[in-house]
Amino acid sequence: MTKKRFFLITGSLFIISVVLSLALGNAKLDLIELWDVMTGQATPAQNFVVFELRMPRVLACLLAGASLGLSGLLLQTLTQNPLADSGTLGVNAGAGLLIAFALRYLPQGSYMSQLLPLVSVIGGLLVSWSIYQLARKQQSILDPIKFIITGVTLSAILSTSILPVVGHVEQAKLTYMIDWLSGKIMGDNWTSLSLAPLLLILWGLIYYRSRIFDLLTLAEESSLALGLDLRKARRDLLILTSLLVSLTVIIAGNIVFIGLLAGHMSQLFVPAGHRVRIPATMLLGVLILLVADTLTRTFLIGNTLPTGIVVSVIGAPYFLFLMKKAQR
Amino acid sequence: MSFSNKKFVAQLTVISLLFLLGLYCGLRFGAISYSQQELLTTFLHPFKETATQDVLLDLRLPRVLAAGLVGAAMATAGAIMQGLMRNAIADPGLLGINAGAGLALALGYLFFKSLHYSMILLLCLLGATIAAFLVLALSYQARIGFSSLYLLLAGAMVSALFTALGQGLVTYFKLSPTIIGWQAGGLVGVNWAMLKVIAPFILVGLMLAFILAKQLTILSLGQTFSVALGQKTTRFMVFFLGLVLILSGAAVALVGSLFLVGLIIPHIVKQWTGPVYQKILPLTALLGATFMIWADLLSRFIAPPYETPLISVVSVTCLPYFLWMIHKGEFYD
Amino acid sequence: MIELRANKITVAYQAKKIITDLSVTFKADKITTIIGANGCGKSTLLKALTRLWPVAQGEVMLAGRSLLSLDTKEIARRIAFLPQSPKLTTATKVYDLVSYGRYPYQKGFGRLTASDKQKIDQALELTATKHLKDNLVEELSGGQRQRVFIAMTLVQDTDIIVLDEPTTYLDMNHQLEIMEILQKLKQEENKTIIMVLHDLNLAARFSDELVAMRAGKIVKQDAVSAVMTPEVLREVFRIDAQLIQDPTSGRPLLLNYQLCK
Repeated sequence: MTKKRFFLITGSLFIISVVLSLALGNAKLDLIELWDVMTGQATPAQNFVVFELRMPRVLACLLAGASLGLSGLLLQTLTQNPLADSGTLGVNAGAGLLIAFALRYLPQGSYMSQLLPLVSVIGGLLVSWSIYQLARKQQSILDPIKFIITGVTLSAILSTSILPVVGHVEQAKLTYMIDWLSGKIMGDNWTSLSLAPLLLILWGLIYYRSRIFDLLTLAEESSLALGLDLRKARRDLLILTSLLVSLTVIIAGNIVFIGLLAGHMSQLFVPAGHRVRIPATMLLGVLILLVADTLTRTFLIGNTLPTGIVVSVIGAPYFLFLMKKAQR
Repeated sequence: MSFSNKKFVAQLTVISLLFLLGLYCGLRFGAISYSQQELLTTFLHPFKETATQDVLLDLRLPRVLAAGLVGAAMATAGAIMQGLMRNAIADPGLLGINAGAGLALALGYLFFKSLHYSMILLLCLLGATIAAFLVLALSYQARIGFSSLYLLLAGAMVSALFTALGQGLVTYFKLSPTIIGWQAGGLVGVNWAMLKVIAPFILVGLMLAFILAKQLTILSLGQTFSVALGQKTTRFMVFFLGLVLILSGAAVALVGSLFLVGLIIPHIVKQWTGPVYQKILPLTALLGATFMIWADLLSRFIAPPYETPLISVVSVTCLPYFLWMIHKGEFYD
Repeated sequence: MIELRANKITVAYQAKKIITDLSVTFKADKITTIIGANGCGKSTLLKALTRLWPVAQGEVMLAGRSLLSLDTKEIARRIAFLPQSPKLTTATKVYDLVSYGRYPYQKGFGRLTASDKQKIDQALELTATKHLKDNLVEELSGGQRQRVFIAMTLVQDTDIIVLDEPTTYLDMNHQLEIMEILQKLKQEENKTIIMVLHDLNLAARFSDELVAMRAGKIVKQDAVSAVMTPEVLREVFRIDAQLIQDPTSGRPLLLNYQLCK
């Protein structure tokens, strides 16, 4: 598939999904009503649904889907393995565990919403730094298999401590953590979306490094021989990815597999350098999350399932399918 | 007695002493600490109704025993798994058994309002079996066997899938949140009724494992060797796999989620004994029991009257060792 | 004329010395091949020469300046290195892979300039891979793949190209393709080629100079006919070699060899 065709198709699908996501849900709006809202001719109730409920939700999915997709791509580049994803490699778990600690031990207050992103970032960075140090051999040699093994086990072990740390004492906190763990998108409000500028800056910083990330797909000796500062490149990648994921999980909760799915599909359809694959993966990530979320909201009305669960139920088998393919 | 046997007896003795000490401390200390005198009196007059007796005999004793059983079961299950798959990363927790049991329980609560302990056990065993089979089937590669990477990935994925399904069921059908509490892991609320149902399975499983340990030693040499030595390999593989599922399923029914015990304890023991499962299994069971009793004590003792989650205590103690194992390349295929 | 030289270098790996007190100068515009048994330090020497592995003692000089004093991108503009069996795990198009070789010259975002694209096209033509430029690297045959990687090193526009066993695992015809490209590079582009080869006859046929190594030291560095002798081969490989002269090329040819008595 040529790049042009790919972006044409995904671009169109993107626009269609956004429109449908704004229209569908608990209160159904048809396209004419939606048009009325956009042109200021609708009732206050309809405006409320679109501007206070739907639009933040769609924006949350946009930001989260793009960021998670991008983080998956970067981790796949770093480990030179298509089976990499921020959730699998423990970044989500690290962020979540520190969020759990903060919830448990810090007094509740209005500053919590400002503190949580910081706490999350610390958790995510700690975990990815630890994994990197453990998987590193001397010189710049990184053992990708060790990286993955460490990440997967840390993810499993750290996430089991998340709920026990929060404790049963305060029910509200426990409920929040359970929702976070299941991947419930709780950041669909304008307060949480204030993280958006940070995410956009991260996207920019990452995109600027496209060339450098291209070289990371080569053997270590090749990239060193081409004059790449390998250690710095990897360090930058890990820091940027951790920041990206840690901030995203504040908005979207513990959603995994988006990075895996988006990264793998973008490699399948547009095997090109990061300059092309970054926007491609971000678009795919948005599509997957938006579609999953809208379907969940529309067809499971009443008992809204956290979107993360739906994505996991699709993503885990897909991962296993990819794994079987990789084994041959 | 040969030298290695003397060493073995010595190791056994030391760990037994630690075990007994753990039992003693586990009963005496905790959220409320008792004096030795109170301990003796209560045990000598077990049916006298006092406040102390309520705590010691109705709450603490079953709990400490459960800790020992869980530790022994998980550690032994891990040891057997490692022998069968010839891979050091085999741990029942990492290979999806917890999540399988959780999903089965969720399904159980979906159809029945409340579950009797025997049903819980049965569901845990069923869930564990399905999860384990999936993981093993997905990670097995012809001519290579089980590689660490794919075991872990398959385990993580099956866990993710089953956990998501389980959580989905709980959320969608508004099931009792006790499942989530159960999955958080811990021995809070263990009572004699539970133990009566579950303990026999663990004890019988351990006994069978010890008796037939020699077969496991042969199995762990590899298909080619074991067949050449005339062993009915498939039969014993299935048997030992069944033991793993019973032991770990029963342990999970008691304690919920638990990781790393089945990986670390056997690894430590193997450094002392070598690949001789007749020695590994008893030592592992004993060391596992001791470890869990002390871990449970810690969880009750660190910040009384609050409970530090058992799983956190286990993670904090086992994780550094595990990370060190990775760093040394213990899981390199 | 850029000369690559090592001055009394000692190179170690995890406290074990692989190369001890070794000095070597590689003549410019020539093809120099390093031969030796497994574990003699050939690959390590290449890595030390290209700053891919640190030198414990001594120094490596490029055009009279120590490698340590040069910026890594600057070194990349003067020396290109092709590792043994270069791997690529992400699906990449040939053209894109070759374009990575322009990295030492790129700033910031990394868009390809017109001159970049010209160099890429030239490299593709030189290695006869232009018709493959839109294919995925993973779809290529062994020989094509190696030629593409050589194109990537060509695009680096360096005077010196260092290759670690560029022909191992290739079929015979592909081996010759690679060797002829390297020869063309020396003759037409005045490049200095330094490589490690396993195949003695291939080394003899295409090299100007041979460097024979044993246990981290140089046994002999000289013209091909001076190094491909029974005495040197006995010391380096512990074999009794029967050599004749190749009627076509005039170079020494290893006909047969026996274990040393």
